[in-house]
Amino acid sequence: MDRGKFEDQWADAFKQAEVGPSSDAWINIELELERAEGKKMRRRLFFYKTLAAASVVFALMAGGVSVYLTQQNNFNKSLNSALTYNHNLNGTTLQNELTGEDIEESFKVDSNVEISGKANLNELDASNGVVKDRKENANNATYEFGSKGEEKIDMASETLKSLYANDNSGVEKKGRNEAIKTSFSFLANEGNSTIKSFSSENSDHLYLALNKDRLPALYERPDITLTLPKKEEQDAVAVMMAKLAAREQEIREEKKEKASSEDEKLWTSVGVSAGSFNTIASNVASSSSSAFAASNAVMADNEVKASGVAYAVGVNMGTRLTPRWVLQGGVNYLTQSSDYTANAVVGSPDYQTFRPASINELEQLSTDASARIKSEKLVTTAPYNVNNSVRYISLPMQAGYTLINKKFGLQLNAGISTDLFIQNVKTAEGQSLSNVDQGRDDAPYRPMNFSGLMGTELSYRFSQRYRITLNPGVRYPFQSIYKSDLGVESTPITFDVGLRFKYIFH
Amino acid sequence: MLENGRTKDYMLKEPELIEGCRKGTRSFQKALYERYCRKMLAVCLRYSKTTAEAEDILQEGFVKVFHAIKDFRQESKLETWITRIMVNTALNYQRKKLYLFPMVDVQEIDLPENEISISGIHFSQLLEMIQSLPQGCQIVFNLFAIEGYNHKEIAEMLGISEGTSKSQYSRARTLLQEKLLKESSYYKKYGQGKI
Repeated sequence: MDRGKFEDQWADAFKQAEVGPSSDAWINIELELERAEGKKMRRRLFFYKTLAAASVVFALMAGGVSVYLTQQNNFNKSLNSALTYNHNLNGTTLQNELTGEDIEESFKVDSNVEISGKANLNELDASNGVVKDRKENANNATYEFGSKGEEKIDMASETLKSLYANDNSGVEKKGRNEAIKTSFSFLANEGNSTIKSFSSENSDHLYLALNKDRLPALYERPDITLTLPKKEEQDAVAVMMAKLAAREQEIREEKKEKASSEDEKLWTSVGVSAGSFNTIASNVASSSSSAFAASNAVMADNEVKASGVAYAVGVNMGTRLTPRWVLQGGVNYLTQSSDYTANAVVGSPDYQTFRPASINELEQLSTDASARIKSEKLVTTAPYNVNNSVRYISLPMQAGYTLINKKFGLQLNAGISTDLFIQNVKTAEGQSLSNVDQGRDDAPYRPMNFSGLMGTELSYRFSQRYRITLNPGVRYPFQSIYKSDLGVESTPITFDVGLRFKYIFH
Repeated sequence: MLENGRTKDYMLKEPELIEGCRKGTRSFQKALYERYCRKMLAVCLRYSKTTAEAEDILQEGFVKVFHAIKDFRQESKLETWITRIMVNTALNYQRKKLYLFPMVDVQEIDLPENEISISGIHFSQLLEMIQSLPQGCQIVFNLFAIEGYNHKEIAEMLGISEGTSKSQYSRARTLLQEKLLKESSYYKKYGQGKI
């Protein structure tokens, strides 16, 4: 079936056809476009919210690792002091080598072994008679020993020579090695697990493994002194120079860190933050003296459960109390804006003006308790959108723990914020309704609220005086933001990301 | 270009209009809507049974236009592109109904040789005739006679056989000719006063 005159006639008839749509058509299209843009915005907000949550998790993890490392460091330091103490009990020969850095270093290389030491043989030899003669002749003679994990260390020649010199007893070399083996056998079988294992392949080698977690107990023994491992034969001057270079580097790092923390003693910052809030705990009473009528309760519930966006702008001051701890506070202007659907308006007594109802009006109209409200009437309407904007002056005070304080900085912050309510504005969207503007006295919100704050501060110092910071964080009120005599409760949790410019005074 | 929040639509050239819509500027979107909404509603009405239904399609279609305009490569005229979106939106809209009442082959009727002219009949009456057709006939008639698709294309678009498309069209044409015949005998009897 092909096209013919008939089809062409119809096509021509409709070619220039036009019909005017109703005026609502564009409004509906516009609403649909705005809704789509809102979804895009919500997706963006979700991204920032996720970023904030991830940062908080990261901060908590970083904090945990930091605390763990600090504790580990303290443990190593306690080992070091025990080591020095015991060493002093037994002599001063190797005292200069007993430094914290060395012990720390040795643990870093291998957590299980890599310890060497000296064992006082006076007591040990008493368990067998192999070197009995030596005990009689040299009351304070010591053997040095060493081990290094899987690697065998040739300890015998140098150590035993030294012993020979100290001992001066003329005991055979074989006898001395036997004595060492016996001594460690004694320690290993003593009932503690300090010495994990030992072996001696031949008379010139000794191999010993110690359990790290038993080391403190070993140090407490006055007859045993653990000292540094004698790693390998090295040029003494080269070793000394290397140690000096390492120490110098360390001192430079310390100075740099100290300088960094000392020159950032006091600062101020200006910043903005944006995020979103969700009401995770809300309640609208339906049976009490302050109950809402069923229809009003639905509208109140919509308002109380509404999620929205939060913006803040403000100035802050901060000071460093210790190299790690800071204290900061400030003043912020905070706006929490949400949209909800209402299906009633409050008409003035003469029905000349109409406005969206606030929660306390809904409650009063439900209980019919207020003379002023009685004269005004709640009129049911088609559902319409209301934008609810709540404004606060927020006074945050936070303590911060600095994890990294270099060009890039990382800090954990926690504290409280005193939020002073200043204004609540309700605007009906696309409606010819009056706005509701309520102050501290007539608004349903508490005049003062306290919120917990927690967050992370990621910063970058881009000049001597300036730092830029990114502050993801979370805010949660300790109590409902609504007045306690109203039958509603709501505690919105806010995730936001702040951007601040810091000016460092000194 | 924009004065007191109102768009001087007639001053905007098509590329400017497209560029403004690509940026999501509301005033340009409104200008584009105002330029084409009347023509597009006429298109939508041909695929609908009521004005409300046509306006729903129009709204959905324009939202699609504003979302898709960033991908418009200007290989065809803007009006043609928008019309295609409107037709597709209308087909999607009607597809739900077609799912419930699928098109079937209907007996082809021999068409009269002397075709009746539609000149002189007002567009609104022609529209009423199209809207009074059964759902399947209405869609196939629009696509074949007015949009200019062939039966193979229509079959692919609607997921039906080419034969079904032909038989639906044949029925649509017969029904329309009957209606036109009635109208023309009415003219003869009472003149054009009725219209």
